[in-house]
Amino acid sequence: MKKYILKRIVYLIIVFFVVSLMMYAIYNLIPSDPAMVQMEPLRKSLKPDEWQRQYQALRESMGLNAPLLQRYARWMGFMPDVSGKFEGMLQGNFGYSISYKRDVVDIMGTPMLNTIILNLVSTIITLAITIPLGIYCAVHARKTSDNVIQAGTVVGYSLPTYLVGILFIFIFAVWLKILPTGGAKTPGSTYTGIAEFGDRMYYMMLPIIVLVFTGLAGMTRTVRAAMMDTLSQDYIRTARAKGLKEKVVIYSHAWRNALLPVSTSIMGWMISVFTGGSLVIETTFALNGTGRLYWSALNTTDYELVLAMQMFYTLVSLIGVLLTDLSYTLVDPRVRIDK
Amino acid sequence: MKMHKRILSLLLAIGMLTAMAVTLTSCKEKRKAEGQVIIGTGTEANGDWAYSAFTSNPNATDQDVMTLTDDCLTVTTNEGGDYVLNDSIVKNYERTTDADGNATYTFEIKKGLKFNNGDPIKAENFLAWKLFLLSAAGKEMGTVTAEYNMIPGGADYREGKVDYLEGLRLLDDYKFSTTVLAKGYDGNSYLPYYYDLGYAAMRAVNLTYWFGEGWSVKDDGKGAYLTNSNGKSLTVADIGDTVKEAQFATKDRVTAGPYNLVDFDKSANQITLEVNENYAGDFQGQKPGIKKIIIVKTEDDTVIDTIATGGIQIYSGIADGAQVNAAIDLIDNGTIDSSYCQYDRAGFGYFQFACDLGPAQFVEFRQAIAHLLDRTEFAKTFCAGWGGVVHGPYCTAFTMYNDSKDILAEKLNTYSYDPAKAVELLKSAGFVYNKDGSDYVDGSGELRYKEVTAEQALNYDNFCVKKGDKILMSATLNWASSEGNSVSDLLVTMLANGAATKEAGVEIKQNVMTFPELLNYMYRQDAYGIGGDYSVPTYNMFNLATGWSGGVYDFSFEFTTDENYIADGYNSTHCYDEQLDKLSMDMVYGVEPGDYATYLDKWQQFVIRYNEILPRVPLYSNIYVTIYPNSITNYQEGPFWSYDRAILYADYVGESAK
Repeated sequence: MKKYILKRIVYLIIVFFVVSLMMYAIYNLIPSDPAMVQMEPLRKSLKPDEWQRQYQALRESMGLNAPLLQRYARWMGFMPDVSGKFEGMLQGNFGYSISYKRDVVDIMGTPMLNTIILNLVSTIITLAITIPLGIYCAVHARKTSDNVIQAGTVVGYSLPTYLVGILFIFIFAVWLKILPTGGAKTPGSTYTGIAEFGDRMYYMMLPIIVLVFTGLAGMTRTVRAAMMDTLSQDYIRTARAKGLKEKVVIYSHAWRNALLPVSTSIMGWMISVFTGGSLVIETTFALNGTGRLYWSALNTTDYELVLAMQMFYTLVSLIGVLLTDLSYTLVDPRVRIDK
Repeated sequence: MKMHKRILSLLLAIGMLTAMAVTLTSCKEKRKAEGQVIIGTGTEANGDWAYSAFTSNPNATDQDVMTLTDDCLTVTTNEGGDYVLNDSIVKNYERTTDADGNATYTFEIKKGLKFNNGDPIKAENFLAWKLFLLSAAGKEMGTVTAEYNMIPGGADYREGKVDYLEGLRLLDDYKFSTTVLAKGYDGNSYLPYYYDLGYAAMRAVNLTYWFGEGWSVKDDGKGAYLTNSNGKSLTVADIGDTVKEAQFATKDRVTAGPYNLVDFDKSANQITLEVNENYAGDFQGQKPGIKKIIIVKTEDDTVIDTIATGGIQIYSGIADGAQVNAAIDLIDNGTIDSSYCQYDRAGFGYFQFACDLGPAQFVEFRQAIAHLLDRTEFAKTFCAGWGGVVHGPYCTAFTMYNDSKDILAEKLNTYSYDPAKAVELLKSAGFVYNKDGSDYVDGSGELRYKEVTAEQALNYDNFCVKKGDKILMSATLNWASSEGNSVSDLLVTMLANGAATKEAGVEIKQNVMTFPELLNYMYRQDAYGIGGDYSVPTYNMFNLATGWSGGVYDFSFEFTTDENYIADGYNSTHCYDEQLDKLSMDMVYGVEPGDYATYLDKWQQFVIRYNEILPRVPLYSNIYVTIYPNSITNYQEGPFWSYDRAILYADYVGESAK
């Protein structure tokens, strides 16, 4: 087991650096010039010669005149930067945001926390609903109740999140007046402790409802499909033939085996929502999350911020895949990764 | 007896006046700030409160918060956008000039002024920020300024060759001066300048808050300098962290404005401000009447719902006609207990030509294009009834415009929708041929051509044909249009694909691109760091918008014929008209401050000339609408008077007061 994990970690590191080089190269292909962005405001207040001199000096000091590989090595922290210091990602310097005018690491924390809370809560609720619902559908496959739920999930699956968001704002905020249209806390509130948590959750409720609603269809169908596949296996027939109770057949024999493909889907889904954030939800409900931050950084060509976020996502994804593989051993005793 | 009566009357009069003064004073003192309002903003605050020291393009919400929390300036702007002395701060002011034309602005500030933490505000507080901004340490930290070019000793101070700034003087605890060079170190002329009072705007900052303990400003006779009693020096190592901390503080900022920053909750995108009891008042002595202001981030798609549910109470400067109508419906049908105020936008949308490329180089052609568009209908449609059309480079809020209404009505061409006139102008411009060189038949719907010289055809080969030794140029505009732009969409419908355009024999080719790319093509250089060669003139029509944040009307260098300036991105219309260039320069650099009559005369000439040769065709000027709750009164925004200024004059009267 240890050997396997060690081997996977070595692979993970290699993949991380290959991806980082690719990402860095791709973002450097996009036409942009951070020195120009900084110098442009002075264009009209400096004489052309003086402006050009300062612009070139800034490019030099930012290391922009160096070849791509050298810049990559500096960015990653393999090589000293123009000041002679090792100040790359490996040393904990994730770059500098030209639009926020501060270190990337200082910007990412708050949106990341918001996104994690939003998605963690909505994921737990979604799974709490979809797993029993999917099992119920599989067990009652092709009966009226299953057909109704399937039709509902098709509709839910087809509706864009944006539309659901707007619709739910109208229902819950404008019409019923029980939830706020957006934001993250009561304006001007000075709550602390439980009251603050309650207030935050109240404001997060509508986005969570929308996320849960839009997530229901996909996961219900995944669980249903996995369960139906398992329920048609010979060992399930054998279990039933042995006279085991239906509950034992479903939850001990079938569900345990169906969990393998389901857990892969859950992990993939969680990684995507945690890393990418929920751009549409965050925008619709004016929430400060990573999806919005990423979108804003792309729009403002703030590539050091974009790159830092990309590398963070890469790391989370790689670790997530490793954890998924390891979790197989817990879910399915037949899987032996140390052999 | 008569004498006694007179004395008695005099005493009575003095008594009454005293009583009135006491009553007025006590009334003013009695104006107690109460209540709270929630303001919605579409721009997410960055939380950078360094007075734009590190960026030339400050975030709008950050800027509003800075105005609300920190307006301790010697010079500010009034409702009309004009520079005025801040009488709550300035006790005495003097402007003197020397033989070289350099101007010195000397201020004596009032005693008893305080920061929100109780620290006294003295002359050194007004010098400190500029001393930091222009210093070598400031340069190393990336301060965005070129002011060192116009202040005596600024160039050496910026390079760290001297540690004092000759042009800034600390005269005593409450007196200081700043000098501006007539001719700067960069060779530019800075004086005389009609708006030169703006040069004298100095901001008071708390030295301990921004730079740390022990800092003060001294002057040994050569110029002011920053010094530290704890042995620290003006270097990034010694002040960098403190400046950064102050720049991004989320609470407890030491400022001297009407409000204090109580909390900036980045997680919730929410800013809470509370009234500053130490505030001296704005330039008219006005203090805030609303105790608490909360600024929250809104989303464009849901903002009307947020207003409807009371999530925000003030939504300022709504430009979108559909949103305006929806918001007013909420008031009319009683969904919200609010009112609205409206005002003309200080700016306008337009399309401009590259007046040296293709057919756009001919004045008659440009005028013909203006006649092919029904601008009144365009403005009506685009603004959904909340806007109109202007006929020159102005907005209706300008004093100059209002003082010139009659003359402009008489002299300006309104370029009304008139396809027949457009055809007439095209013919007079020489667009009288078909592609094969035969005579053009009006109404044929074919593309018109004009015989041009090789010089006139330069860089426009794609739209020219050779017939023997003749070069024929088509009546084609090559339009650079930014993506996702609703003005462009309407221009396509009403102008580019308009029946009148085709009928007149004109073609407008739309090329959709990103906005930075459009600007690069317009400036003919890579001004936005995209990379690539934009030096070859390619497009001759661009649609944009412009605005004035204050009342400064300065078009200097915008129509320059100086090759160096043109190469540096000035004169983006490439309209090389000596008269227009001269007027644009003389209007501000040829008029002494205060000489309004001369200024107005030049302004009128400039607008008339601009309207005649038409480097830009104005399309629309919005009417902005602001929704505000009936729990406040006396709230009125204006073109140069946004919510961050207007809120000071509002009184909180409680819910359902109206």
